[in-house]
Amino acid sequence: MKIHDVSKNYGKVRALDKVNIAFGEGVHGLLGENGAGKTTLMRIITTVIEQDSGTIEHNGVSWDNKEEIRKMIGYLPQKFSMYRQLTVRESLRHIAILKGMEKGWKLAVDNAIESVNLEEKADSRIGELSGGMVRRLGIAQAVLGNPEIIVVDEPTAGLDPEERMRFRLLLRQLGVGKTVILSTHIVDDVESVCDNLTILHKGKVVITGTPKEIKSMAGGKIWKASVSRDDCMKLAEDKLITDQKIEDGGYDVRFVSDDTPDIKAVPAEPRLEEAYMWLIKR
Amino acid sequence: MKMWLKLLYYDLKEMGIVFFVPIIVTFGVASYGIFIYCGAPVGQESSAMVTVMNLLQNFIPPVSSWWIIMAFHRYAEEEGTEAFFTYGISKKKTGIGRTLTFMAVMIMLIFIIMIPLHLMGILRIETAVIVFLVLSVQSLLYGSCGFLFILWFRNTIWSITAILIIASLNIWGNIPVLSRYLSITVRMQAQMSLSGLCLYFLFIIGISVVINYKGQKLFFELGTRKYG
Repeated sequence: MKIHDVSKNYGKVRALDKVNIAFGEGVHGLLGENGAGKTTLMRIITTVIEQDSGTIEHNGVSWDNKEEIRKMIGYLPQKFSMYRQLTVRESLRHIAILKGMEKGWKLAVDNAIESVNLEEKADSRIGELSGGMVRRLGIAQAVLGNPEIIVVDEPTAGLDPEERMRFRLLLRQLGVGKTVILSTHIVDDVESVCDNLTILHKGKVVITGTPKEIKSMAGGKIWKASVSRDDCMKLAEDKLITDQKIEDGGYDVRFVSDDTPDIKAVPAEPRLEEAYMWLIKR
Repeated sequence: MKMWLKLLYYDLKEMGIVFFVPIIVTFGVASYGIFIYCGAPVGQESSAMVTVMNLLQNFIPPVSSWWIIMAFHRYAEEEGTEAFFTYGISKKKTGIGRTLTFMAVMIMLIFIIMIPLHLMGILRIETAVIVFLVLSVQSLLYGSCGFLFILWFRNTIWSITAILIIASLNIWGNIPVLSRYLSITVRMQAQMSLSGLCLYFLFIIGISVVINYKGQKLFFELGTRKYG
């Protein structure tokens, strides 16, 4: 899937500015702070809204042909709700009808339920499910009809640690043989799930690469030091501190610095979060 | 057909208790009409019949918008229905198709209440047919208005308020938007012409089609209006 020079304005606010990204098979992460343009890009990819300029195509099919594209796409939006009075199975059958599935939809619904491990809750009402289960149901509706592209927007937000880990595993499984686009501002999600990563900042693409490549870009820019409380305060005034731990009355800090710092510090192996911070502050 | 029935079933099940509102109103109004007619003094049946007609047309057609507003409010109002706008089914099918399905159910309800009104001698068969047709086309109009309002306002309360304003204008406003026709027709049955009735039906159906078309257009643009 190729996104070429896509721009989108909301009034005078430029939400996306000539975005160019190519997505292949596997899980592709979109990382950026709130307001970076991730959700806008997701909505354009899923045909909920249209770009002001630029083109998108997948296997030669242009996004102008919405009907064809919609057959190829499954989408789990950031806020997802379903009919609360219906059971899991009923709601997915309802969606199968809305997706225009005419044949084999009963089997497809059962497969979707199985793929997200909701068999035991298949005949429970949605109103009785936990938040994590509703998100899993969201994935089930996205994969219904076996789409080639699955788009998930902030899927782990608000989930407990166990459900989050389960969700990451699920996303990894979905990425086999399909294109999964995952939008998030949680760096841990990206690191554990994504094959590729695009960082968005203020509507622009900052960088695209594998998490390893992006981490290596910040090599030599991340430092660690043991400092006193006062030095730590002073350091925070002109350096970006990415981590600090209280240790023996002082602080073990990690910080971003393009140059060799004045204080006694040693270069550290960059974490993805630090590389991200360094890239967007650059 | 099977698809519409399934969608209808899921929509109605999701509505829960609010699903019964049009049924309660329709049967309630019909029962009250029967009560008024049966309690009218001898020789005043004709006047009681006009009261019953007014009751029917003032209260039954407006509730035909209820199910439509309740079914579409999720798409128009709720935040979590974004995925709907990416589904492959045509908006024509989910918009006009579902609207017409709800209207068909309402028309069935109207047909059902005509049976006791006729069997109890309140409406002669030819009057019952006219009342049924008038209430049906008025229900089409109110249903279309409900469809338009929920997509236009994207707010359930505002949509119901707009329907209530139109209904109130008919009852108290002396503005012959819709309903005066029926009482006039019933009073002046001797002068009623078939062509006049047909013109009335065509007029109301025409307005309903225009309103539905506008609603459909808003439904096409709903994703962009809501999220764009």
